[in-house]
Amino acid sequence: MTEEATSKRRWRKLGRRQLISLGVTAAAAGGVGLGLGFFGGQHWERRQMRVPPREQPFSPNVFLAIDHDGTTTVWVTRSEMGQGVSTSLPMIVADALDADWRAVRVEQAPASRTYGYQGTMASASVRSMYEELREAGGVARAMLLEAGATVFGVDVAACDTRAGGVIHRASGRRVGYGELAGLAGTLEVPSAPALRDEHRWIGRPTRRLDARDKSEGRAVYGIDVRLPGLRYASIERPRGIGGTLGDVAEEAARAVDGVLDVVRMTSGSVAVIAEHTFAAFAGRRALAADHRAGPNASLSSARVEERLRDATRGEGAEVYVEGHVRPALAGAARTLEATYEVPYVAHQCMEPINATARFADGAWEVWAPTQDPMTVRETVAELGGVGIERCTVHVTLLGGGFGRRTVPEEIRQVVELARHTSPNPVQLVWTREDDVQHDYYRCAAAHRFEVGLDAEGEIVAWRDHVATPTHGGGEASGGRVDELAVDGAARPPYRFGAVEVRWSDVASPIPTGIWRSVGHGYNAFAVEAMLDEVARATERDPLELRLALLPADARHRAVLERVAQMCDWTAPPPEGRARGLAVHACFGSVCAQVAEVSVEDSLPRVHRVWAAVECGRVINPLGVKAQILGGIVFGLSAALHGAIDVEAGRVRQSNFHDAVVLRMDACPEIEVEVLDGAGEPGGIGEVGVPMIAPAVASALSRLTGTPVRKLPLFPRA
Amino acid sequence: MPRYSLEVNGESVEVDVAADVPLLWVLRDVLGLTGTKYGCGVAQCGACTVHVGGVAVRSCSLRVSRVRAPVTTIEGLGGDHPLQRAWVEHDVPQCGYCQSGQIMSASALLARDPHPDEATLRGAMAGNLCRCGTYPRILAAIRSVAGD
Repeated sequence: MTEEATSKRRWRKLGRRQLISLGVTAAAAGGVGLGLGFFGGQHWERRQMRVPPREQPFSPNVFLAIDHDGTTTVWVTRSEMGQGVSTSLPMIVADALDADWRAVRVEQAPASRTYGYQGTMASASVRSMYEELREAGGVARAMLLEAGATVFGVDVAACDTRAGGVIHRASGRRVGYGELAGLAGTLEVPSAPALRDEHRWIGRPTRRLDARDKSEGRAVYGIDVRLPGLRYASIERPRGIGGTLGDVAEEAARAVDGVLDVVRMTSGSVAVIAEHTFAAFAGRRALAADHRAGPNASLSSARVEERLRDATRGEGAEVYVEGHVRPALAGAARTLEATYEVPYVAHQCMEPINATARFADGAWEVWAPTQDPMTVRETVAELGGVGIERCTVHVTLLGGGFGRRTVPEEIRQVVELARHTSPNPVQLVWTREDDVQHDYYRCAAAHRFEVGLDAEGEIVAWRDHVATPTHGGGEASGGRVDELAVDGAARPPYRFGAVEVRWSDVASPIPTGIWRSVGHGYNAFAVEAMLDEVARATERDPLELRLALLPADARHRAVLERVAQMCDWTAPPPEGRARGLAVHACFGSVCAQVAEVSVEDSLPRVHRVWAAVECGRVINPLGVKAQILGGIVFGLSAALHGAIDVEAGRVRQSNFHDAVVLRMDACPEIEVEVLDGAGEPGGIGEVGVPMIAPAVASALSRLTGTPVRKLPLFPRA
Repeated sequence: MPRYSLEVNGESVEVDVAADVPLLWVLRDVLGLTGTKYGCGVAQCGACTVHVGGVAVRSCSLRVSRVRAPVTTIEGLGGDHPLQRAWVEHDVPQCGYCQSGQIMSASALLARDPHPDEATLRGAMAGNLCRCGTYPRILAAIRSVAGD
């Protein structure tokens, strides 16, 4: 199977796996394929259903509609969380439609099966929708062409389209799409329209359509939903993992100015409902709740990390084997051994977790900044006790997602609250402390490497034992490999001779979830930093070593060579600084990064980062650059500071003062180049994250002479 | 309940809330000005930054009873502020949630120091967090307005 095909198969599998892991029903998971059946069996059904109903005279499919004035509305069916889908997905439609970009307007699609799969995860939005949106635009263009030819009284073959209009080639006459909308709306929808080969929008650097709203305070996030009679709520929950709440001072909370109600939830938590958010927060404090430790009173993340280290010395499950690693290690002239470790990390989306719900007249309406609208809708129907057709889920803008907003916990909470406030709507807002202490964390992980070198210093054996907590915090898997946990380590791209990768999991009640780049994040850190150890031990240039170990057709080569040119790799760095290099392929794309680092007051300082990325066909170069740059900042923030500690069953950190993230004053200069890639579009949202930690760690190791094998690089706040 | 008179974006308003309610929640939940964001509640992230008497303040940590000067929020900046235009020109926002606060901090900085040096600029903006990593474009946009 080609790499492209593998990658395509991979995101589908990943999407389904993630859904299942998050508790979605098999039927819903099957919806992953629904989006691909656009012109198959789903076609007629989708033509009949438009959610919400449309006024426009021409709407040949769910994704677009054209009005008499030419306004072209594109329904975006993935969540906009900063990654730019509300610009890139319309670009794909506009390109195939040959639209006038200035006439394009974007609507966020509500949760509805008519749109197919709507989850936003696994960097799959553009990858999974590219063909479908091309077809959606292409169908519309074919119909407009036919309408235009009818108006001109000529054959379709004598016509063409140009930026929102149909032209008659011979005479140069032009008629706009808006003028043709009425006629086009009466035509039969073609089943297999010819698509344009020429691209007007795909590949063109295009500014975000939402930049203005977001610069003027007009963009509406979940937390900004305002409705008549809206109540505001906050939930006091057990402080510890698996803890309970004892007595609460309900009357004191009710006495707080603006508090309307105090509700004991089925979970045992206590909600305060108020006239405004702050009154709900103040009411919570007035509860002076008695927080009781549950069965995890002695739970400690340090102990989990210790068990992970121990697990890397155990038997584990086989992930990947090539050759015979044991004899190769036994026969090696020299063996390098090292243990790499990363801690639990929180997401810390800038917009705290929230949701708004209204239950009135036997129907539910929910507003959610979610990465998974379908699961939200199913959750509302299930807990709301009505059929799914009576549940409307509006997807708002997301103030960051990073994988956090794939879990519908706040939806379950707000549905329960809305029963109390009905018919008034209620907005549930988690405090930042709730967010930091009750996240679904990126898991801690440990790697133990044994790398065998021959007399010439060539790698002849690579043994890597990965250990992670069991995904979701449940019982250990009993030897069945969690592919998400080993992504990025399972199959090294290098020719290492004999290879053996094993995996162990350790059961722990600390909740874990998907965190931007998932397994690739911590696994690429370990693999790439270990490879740098080999380079240092054998006194080889880390770039040359990688190029020597990579197969001739590896996509890694071009980005490595390019990033080396960008930073002038062979020239020595400025005095007191060192450079580290890392490369990794994930989500159908590949990226190489170089970090230039110094040590100031015994702390690392990253001055410059260079990145070269190849992600197949590029839709919006500006968007790709922004994602890689943002991924570097996100990954660097975690590498320098990211850590969540559980002590005595409670998360120690609570807000940005102790769950530190990267600030402007420590942000390096970053240069990103996007290479021309052949083939299908690759993913981009998560691609920039994994390389920065190993690049910085390698630079620091070179600078200090001591291998850096543990994150974060700063001491805990 | 106490009644407070405020001047917000050039308009006089009266609000009936308890004295300890932070300006942030008066703006968002009472006056419906949701452009100002809640991010941390403890003046650590800057998402709630507004101008009070022309100075950038964290509205999550300023009680309404202590507001003694005119308040300007992102909505009051007008949309044609050079920084807002620069934000669009430089394609700054990603998720965008922090950007109101970023712009309010930057506009207060440039109002008192139209040509800040690099250290001043980075230092003044270090109180505003962004998780999408738009920092480099924020700096570029501010520099373009500061004329450096």
